[in-house]
Amino acid sequence: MAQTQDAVNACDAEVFLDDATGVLQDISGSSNSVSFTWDNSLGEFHTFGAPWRAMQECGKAIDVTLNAVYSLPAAEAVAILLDWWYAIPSGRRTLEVNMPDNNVGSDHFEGEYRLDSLQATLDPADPNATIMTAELKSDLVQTHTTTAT
Amino acid sequence: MYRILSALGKGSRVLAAGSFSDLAWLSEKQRDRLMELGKIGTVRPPPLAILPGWKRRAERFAVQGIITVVDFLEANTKELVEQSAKTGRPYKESTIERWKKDAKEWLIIKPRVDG
Repeated sequence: MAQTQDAVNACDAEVFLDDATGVLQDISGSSNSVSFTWDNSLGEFHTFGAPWRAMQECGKAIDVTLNAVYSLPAAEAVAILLDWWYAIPSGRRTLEVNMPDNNVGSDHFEGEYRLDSLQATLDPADPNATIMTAELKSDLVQTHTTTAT
Repeated sequence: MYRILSALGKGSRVLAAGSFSDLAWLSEKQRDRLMELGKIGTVRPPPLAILPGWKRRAERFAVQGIITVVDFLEANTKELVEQSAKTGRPYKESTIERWKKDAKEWLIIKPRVDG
């Protein structure tokens, strides 16, 4: 099997999230991990006389875990996330991710998300940057394209 | 002309997989990169003559060096009208545009949809 020459890492990945005014903010510099779970909703059944399981599929959804580095500026990740959570109603916001970067050929993921939860532990004994974890759930259509601009 | 093998994002526009484009806004190096990644491929267009109902038409265009669907799509419509006028049987510009639309359909691969 041929050894890939195109393996990439996420060092230069880009993350964008809508702020309260609907403007996409580049939060790459204030977040340090994004974890995607692409869920394909499967159902299964067996029928009489047939030994093999049969399956069908229905819904698709994406769950995202975003880790933000705690900082104070309004255009950075934590302030946007807190503002999102405290807004009533919180509503949907756009999340976009470029992987491995935004050059031609990169993957571009885009969709609308709801904020499911925010979590941060404020620990006076920990000298590391405080991390806030946001759980996002996709709402409606999600797209995956190859960057070609 | 390139076949789009994986949906391409051009700003807020998406070029669907199965469609085709000249990708004129990209540099040769950028197109080569997409080719290398298998996101696009070269179009191997069918000859006009094999499209249903195109035999006579294809013969007339062949005289002008237009053999394949892509040759036809890339040809200047006004020039095609002018060339046809010289034969005494002119085509209308709107007719050529309609044929181009039809011919384009033969290049588009519809996405597979199954249960």
